[in-house]
Amino acid sequence: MRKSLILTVIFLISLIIPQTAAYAQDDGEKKWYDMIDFQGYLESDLRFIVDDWRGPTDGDGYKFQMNRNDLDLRLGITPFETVRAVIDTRLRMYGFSEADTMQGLNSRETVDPFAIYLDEAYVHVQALGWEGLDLKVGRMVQNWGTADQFNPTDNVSARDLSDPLDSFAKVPNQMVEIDLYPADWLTLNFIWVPVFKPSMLPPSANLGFAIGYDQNGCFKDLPTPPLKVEYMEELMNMFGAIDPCSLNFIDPQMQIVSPDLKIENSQAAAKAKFLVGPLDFSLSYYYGRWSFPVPATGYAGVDANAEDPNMLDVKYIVQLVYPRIHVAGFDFSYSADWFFDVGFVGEVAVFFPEKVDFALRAFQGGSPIFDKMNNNVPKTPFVKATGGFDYTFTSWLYWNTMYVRGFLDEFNDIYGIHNYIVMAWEFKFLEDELQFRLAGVFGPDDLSGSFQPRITWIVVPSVELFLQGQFYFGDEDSTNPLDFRAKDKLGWKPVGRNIVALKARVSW
Amino acid sequence: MNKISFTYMLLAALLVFAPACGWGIDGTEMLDEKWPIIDGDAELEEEIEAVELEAIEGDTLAGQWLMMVEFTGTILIATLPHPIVIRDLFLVNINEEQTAAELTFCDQIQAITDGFSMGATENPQALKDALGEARFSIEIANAKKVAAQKIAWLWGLKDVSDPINSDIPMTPEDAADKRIWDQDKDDNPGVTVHILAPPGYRYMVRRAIWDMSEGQLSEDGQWIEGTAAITIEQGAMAAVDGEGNPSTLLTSAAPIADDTEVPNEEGKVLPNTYRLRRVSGYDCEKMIANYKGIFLIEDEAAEE
Repeated sequence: MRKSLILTVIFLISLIIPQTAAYAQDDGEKKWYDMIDFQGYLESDLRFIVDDWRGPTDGDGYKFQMNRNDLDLRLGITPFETVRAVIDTRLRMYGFSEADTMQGLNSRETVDPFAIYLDEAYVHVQALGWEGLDLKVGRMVQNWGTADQFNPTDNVSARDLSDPLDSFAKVPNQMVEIDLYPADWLTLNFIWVPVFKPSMLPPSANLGFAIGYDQNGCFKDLPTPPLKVEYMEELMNMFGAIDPCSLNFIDPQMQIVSPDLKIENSQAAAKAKFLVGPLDFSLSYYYGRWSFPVPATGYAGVDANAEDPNMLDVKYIVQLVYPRIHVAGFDFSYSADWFFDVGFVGEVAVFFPEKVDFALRAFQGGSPIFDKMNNNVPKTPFVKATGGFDYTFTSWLYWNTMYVRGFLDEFNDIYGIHNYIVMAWEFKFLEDELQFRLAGVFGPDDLSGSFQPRITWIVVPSVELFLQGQFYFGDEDSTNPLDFRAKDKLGWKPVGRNIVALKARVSW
Repeated sequence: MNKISFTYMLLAALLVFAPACGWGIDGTEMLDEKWPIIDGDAELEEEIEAVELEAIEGDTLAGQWLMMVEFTGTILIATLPHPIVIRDLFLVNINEEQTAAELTFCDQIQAITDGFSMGATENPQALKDALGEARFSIEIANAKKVAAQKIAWLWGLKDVSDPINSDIPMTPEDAADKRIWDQDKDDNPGVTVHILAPPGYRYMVRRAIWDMSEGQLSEDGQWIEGTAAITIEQGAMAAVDGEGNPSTLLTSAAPIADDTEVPNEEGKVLPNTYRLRRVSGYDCEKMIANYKGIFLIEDEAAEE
């Protein structure tokens, strides 16, 4: 396996070099500025939390959440007709000072923290030895599927959910992509991703693993692990017999167990896309890892506090893993010109997951006091699917509705796969200068949901102002802290805060 | 599609999906790597040296004996039962008439054998001394065996009209009960027991009822052995934490239950026992030092 991969890479490089040399000779008179194109945007994003009940403690809220500025610079270089390099960088200024000591005030990085992102950096070689063969190598993201946002067949690139207002973002990764165009109606994609990268989670997700405290700062509950309710009752009774104020939880840890950097942990994907008149459809396959963390173990260690004989120190550690998966997918999009030009989309993905058995062990003074295990993710294949349609009523009214089986992060663990209705309405006024969009997700299984209103004002072309919000409804806390399943998917605190945002963006 | 191409497709599908069959992430294995449970009893195995006792010749049972009452049961801490062994050690003097054996308490050894230390207690010396002073007797039948009988052994209680059947004070609400006796004379109600974890002291009363079978004399005349169904009740009047502050948590004495009807891992039902060994020249200190080599060495031999 390893040998054949090395040979493949050598073969691909040998194809690129002569191609590049040939184009250099042909395009000798091309000016440098003809070879580059430049795009980007500047975005300012100010967000305010409009609740005080969805934070880590009651009363935390009504404050600024974000004060961010992004400068995105995307450079395309086309030195030859069939070779293109893309570099997409982003300078992100966070806008909140992190200086909490006098020394911190000496550093610009602390007072005005920033980060530099490299969102894309790849080379695209077309007609590589054969007119119908393209190669892309480098850092990029893949977007598979035909539906809007909820794409069960889209598993190559991990999600970047760190920004709750941008659920389209992906985590870029190094990969090799070969595209074949054997016929006008057929495109074949083959992708190899050497190293796994996980999805990014919103900051609020940490609340899902936080220790609960009451108003007096005393222990209230543990983050619910995927254990059977009867096991949880035993565990909580054990802690329940102890004065909750005497429990001192020391820095609860969520440890990520990342796959080794072995070639066996590479990801591979293939897709065949067919164009048949107004119908596009794809058959796809992915082998890799589920990019959202799944709890596999829990450890609680209780020891007497060295300084205060009335206190007990509790160390709580959860290990999270990324199970392997095979995914067989089918997606389609169809524009029904015979039926009011309604656009239909659909995706079905069959997941063949790696089984995950969750175990929790507690020790007191080094001696085991609790040791239970149950299945968290069965190896039984499961289906995630999306189906829907969109329709443009008039030039100023657009409607999009989808049924979603399985939310972005659902993986048939003990919580299971749930059903959702996703809907978006768009109204445009003043020759599209003013737009109003109302999008929402509703979970009929637990009657929770979220909605995102947005007003867009296109001041002049390429200059936009946004006033938007994100709001959740449903139970913020689990209805049964002992039951991993007893949470409202979209109402649960770890999903996020109710916010309003004011954004300005200039694109070029 | 012809048969051959279908076969190739099937083979390809099997190659792709077959690896999933052996997949699995086992949380227990992961825990074993980082936080293993060491097999075996949590109580440290201790090598016990046998104590050689001379055979005491005598035509009657009269004289000095050592007695160990061994209780095997569960202590309910945080609603979870933990195995507990309680060994009560007494110096015994059987009178010349061979009608009664007077018991002098020496010590009580408790061990929660799964290693759980929460709720474990020890008895302060003042309590041991007080219990030692409160001698009580068991009946000897026909000058040759311990009679089948029911005995109530009380801690921190006096003037109980029916020691076996009367209700005894159990909660802080009963603290005004006149029968509660500051037996260890420390100005706290009942007797004071030292709680090891979480640290503190509990002021309590205790009643152990021994429903004893007949104790038979061994052929060599050195041992008397019998079984006993033992019931233990503990009532707490108050408790303080390690810093002397009142503690509601520590006021609850963990219930202790007899589990002798429950078969052990090997399917055997092991009753509570009482055993007496004829000796001479023993005091409490010597008994506490030697009891394992006298009473437990036999258990080890039996296990082997």
